[in-house]
Amino acid sequence: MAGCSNSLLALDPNCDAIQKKGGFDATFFIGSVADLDAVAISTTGEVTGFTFAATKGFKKVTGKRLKHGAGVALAAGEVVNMRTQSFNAVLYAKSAAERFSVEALADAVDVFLVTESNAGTFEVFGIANDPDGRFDNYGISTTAGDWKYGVTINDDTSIAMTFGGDLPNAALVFNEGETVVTNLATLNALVV
Amino acid sequence: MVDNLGRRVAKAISKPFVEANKNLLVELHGEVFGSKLCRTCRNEQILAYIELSRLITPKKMSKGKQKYSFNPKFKGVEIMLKGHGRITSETLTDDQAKSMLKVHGFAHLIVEVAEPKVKSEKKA
Repeated sequence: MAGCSNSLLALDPNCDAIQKKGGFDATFFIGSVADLDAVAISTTGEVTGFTFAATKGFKKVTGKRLKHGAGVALAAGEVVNMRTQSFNAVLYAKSAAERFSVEALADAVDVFLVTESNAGTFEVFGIANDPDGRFDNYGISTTAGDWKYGVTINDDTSIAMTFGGDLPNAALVFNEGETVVTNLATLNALVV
Repeated sequence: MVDNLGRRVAKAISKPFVEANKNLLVELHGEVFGSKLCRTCRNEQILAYIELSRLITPKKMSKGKQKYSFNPKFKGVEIMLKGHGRITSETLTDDQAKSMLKVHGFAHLIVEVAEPKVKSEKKA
């Protein structure tokens, strides 16, 4: 038996990669993987488009800039290595409608989200670059939530919510060749 | 077809393509195409020719004439389509294209393959 060979590739990052800024913008776009009909992806794993089923699309969630965070940890497995993706959102709600939106996010199962990073890239969490194209077998779900009310006037009253899940890849990049303005327009056009 | 040639073709195509002797296939292909030995079994000869052609150039022959293809602007893009897996410009079938065109948002990606223009004959 020949066994499995490693498909190793060279890596020679340019200055942009070395000086890549951290953190995210205030707004992110969230959708259900089940609502997606298709994902267009390049051979190097760049997501170039989402196609939602009729009447479905993204919901736009806005917090504050430099508050959301994300991370990906390798989960070494017996069969394959997975990547545990997590996106830590910081949300704000006061009115009944705002609180109701947070409740819906708290129950999110198998969602994906696209968020603008401070490095100018749009990061895609929850979409699997599956070799067989079965992106719909994956997603991220709400794994933690913390509604803070505070004690003193200036205490933190935000809601911390974590979306996480195991995928075959780390976060993917969305349309890296396009400008931020174009990508935001593309994503806004998919909001329902 | 002359019995000996018929037997040789049958034997050559009995194996999976990866195991078949490609040089022999090419040789038999030419022999069948050029054979004038058979006078009464033209259909059999044509069928053997088609089968050998398919074996020699499996990819080229397997898809047949396509009505749809990916827009060349999206070269290198692959589509992960729910229920269909990963689709590339090389693997796109007409059935998949039709199913993708039914879905909103794929009209920009799928194009109809232009029919080759036939030169109009000059009027006498």
